[in-house]
Amino acid sequence: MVTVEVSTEKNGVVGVLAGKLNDIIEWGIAEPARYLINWGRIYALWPVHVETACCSVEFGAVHGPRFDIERFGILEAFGSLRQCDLLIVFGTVTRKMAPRLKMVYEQMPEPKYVIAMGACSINGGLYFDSYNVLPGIEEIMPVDVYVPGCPPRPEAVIQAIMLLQDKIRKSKVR
Amino acid sequence: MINLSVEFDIKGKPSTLSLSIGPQHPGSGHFRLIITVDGDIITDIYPDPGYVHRGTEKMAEYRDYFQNIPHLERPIIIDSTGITLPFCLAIEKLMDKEAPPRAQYLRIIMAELNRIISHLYWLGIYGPFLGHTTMFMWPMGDRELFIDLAEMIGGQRVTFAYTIPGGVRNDMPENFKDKALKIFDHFERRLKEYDDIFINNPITDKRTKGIGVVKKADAIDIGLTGPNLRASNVKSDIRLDEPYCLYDELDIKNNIPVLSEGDCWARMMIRRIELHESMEIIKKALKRIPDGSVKLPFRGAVRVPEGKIFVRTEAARGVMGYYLISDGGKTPYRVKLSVPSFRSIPGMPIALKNVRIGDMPPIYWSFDYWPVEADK
Amino acid sequence: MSTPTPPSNVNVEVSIKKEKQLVEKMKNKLKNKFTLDSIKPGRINVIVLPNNIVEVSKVAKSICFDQVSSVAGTDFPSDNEFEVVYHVACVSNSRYRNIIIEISTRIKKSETAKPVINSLYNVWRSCDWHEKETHEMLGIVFKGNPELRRVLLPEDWNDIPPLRKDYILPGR
Repeated sequence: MVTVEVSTEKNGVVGVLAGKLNDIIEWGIAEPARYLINWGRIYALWPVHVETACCSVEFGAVHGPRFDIERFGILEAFGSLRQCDLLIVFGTVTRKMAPRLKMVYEQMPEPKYVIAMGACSINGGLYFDSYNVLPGIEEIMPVDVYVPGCPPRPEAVIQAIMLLQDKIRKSKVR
Repeated sequence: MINLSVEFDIKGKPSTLSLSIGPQHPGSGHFRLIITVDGDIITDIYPDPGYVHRGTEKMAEYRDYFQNIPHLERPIIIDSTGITLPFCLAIEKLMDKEAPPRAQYLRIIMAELNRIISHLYWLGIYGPFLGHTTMFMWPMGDRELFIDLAEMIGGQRVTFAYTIPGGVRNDMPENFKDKALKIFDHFERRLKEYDDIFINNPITDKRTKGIGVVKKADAIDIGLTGPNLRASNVKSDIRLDEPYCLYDELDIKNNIPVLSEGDCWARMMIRRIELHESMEIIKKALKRIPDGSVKLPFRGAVRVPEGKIFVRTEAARGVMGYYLISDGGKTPYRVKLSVPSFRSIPGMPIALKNVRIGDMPPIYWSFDYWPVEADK
Repeated sequence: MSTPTPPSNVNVEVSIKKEKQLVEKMKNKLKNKFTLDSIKPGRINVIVLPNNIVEVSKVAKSICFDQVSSVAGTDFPSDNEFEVVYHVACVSNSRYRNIIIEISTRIKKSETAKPVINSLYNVWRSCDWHEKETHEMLGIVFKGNPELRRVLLPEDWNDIPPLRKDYILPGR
């Protein structure tokens, strides 16, 4: 059994060296890796094809040639939702649709992001006093970006995508 | 040929399977169809609407007549004049007033523009359902030109709430006529290109001709309206049968197409022909539009005298009917909407009988079923 | 440049001839089974008792009316009644295409039983989904409709039917 006695001075030097080594690893490897991973995620956000209500008309227009959201990497994958990472909630969510929407959200793999589009998904909007409408979707899923409007203009949707991209760029890798 | 029901027959049960083409599906909107298949062939269909039911009729009783116009506009958001116009006509008839002639011509122009915008959206989604993604980009791009025209008059891209009881909100700007005629010239040339790549495409023919047939007797019996009915050899159009808003001054007998096949191809061709004919109607209206005021002066809130009335007009998808009961107060007593998409739900079980699963998306979308409108 | 319009009373005189002809045909076949509420250009309004509604509808179908446009149910708590109104249009006969017949009837409310009325499914198939919706929104039972099921409301709805006047919106 060997005991090593390390005096406090030596402990301090080792500690500082260990700290500097940590900084170098952080600066040389972890930061660029985080930047690359986030860069990959930002420019390939794929939304799920789930239409909830009337704002989906403006989302169709955003995919058109005038507003062209594909240049930001948003590609509507007509396949399974297991390969998508963005859920845009268009408009009103009714009580019949809410469990299905939650099921869709839970099936998506991590990391996933949610954009609440339209006044109805923020707090009920025009239908605040209806008997069948959820007052906002925060009860069932966490939201990253809110887009007000009824319906929001396509330029507002593009601004929301860019805000989400900024948010991802600055976040830690999950 | 292998008989699937014998091959997989365990415990003597027939080999049918129930699928849910649910609210999250690339081949459907916010609507669920529960289909029972035997192998690949559809044997039974159970439509399940109601995912966007927001209670429009009940909420309309708590809002006064002007507040109801943006409220009632939201079910058919892409054809907003088609759904607010009959409501305003019902109020005017109960009050025994009529909008000035210039307002009625402006209503015709906006209604036909909305018809073109709605049909282009339909065509833009029909392309991808058949696997033709160019046919998503081209109609969506040309649709933006017509939305620009609507924005010149209405002030907003989609929900302009332009018709009000007594007329329209504002007059059209002076450069509207020149810009409209230029856009129509451009779009006529584009329609020829659409014909070349999509409408006369042999793959489109194979996927839509003879599929999803609804015969004339069935179509009348189950309640189809609008382009779906005109594709089954019935010349029925409210603009001709019961003209409203001075449509009878424009001679539009030759602008209403009728086809007799009753299949998906006929329903597609009717809408493609209507794109051209609506532009002709707008040109006729722009030639004859008189001068004058665009709305009746109202002081204070609109109070409608007691009475009840049923009014119907031709929206882009079919016949839009309103049954309005008023008790003399500021808010209506009962507003009943009879929307065209709800009336085309019974057409789906007939058209989808004994059809393969691969043919389901074209047939479903050929009825132009918009779930938000059917669920009110 | 505005087109001259003829004086309004001339319009009314000319245009309700066809409607009067149709009402005469119905009276010949039905005698007193319905009361005429009003005739206007393009609209014939008829009131019937709930027991006679199927017979009146069959005669209306045999004349020319072949497609139901809408079925509306209304709650009148002041009269303690429900009103059910059928609007039927004529689609195949080009002469009467602008006319709609409105068949309306009233059902008494009762504390114990649900309001029941005979369905018109066997006369006009197009009233099927409208009757399902009226049943769901007001609670009226249409006897003879093959399947009265949930159409618009969510599956776990357990409150009173929403279009009744004693149901208050939760947000108000």
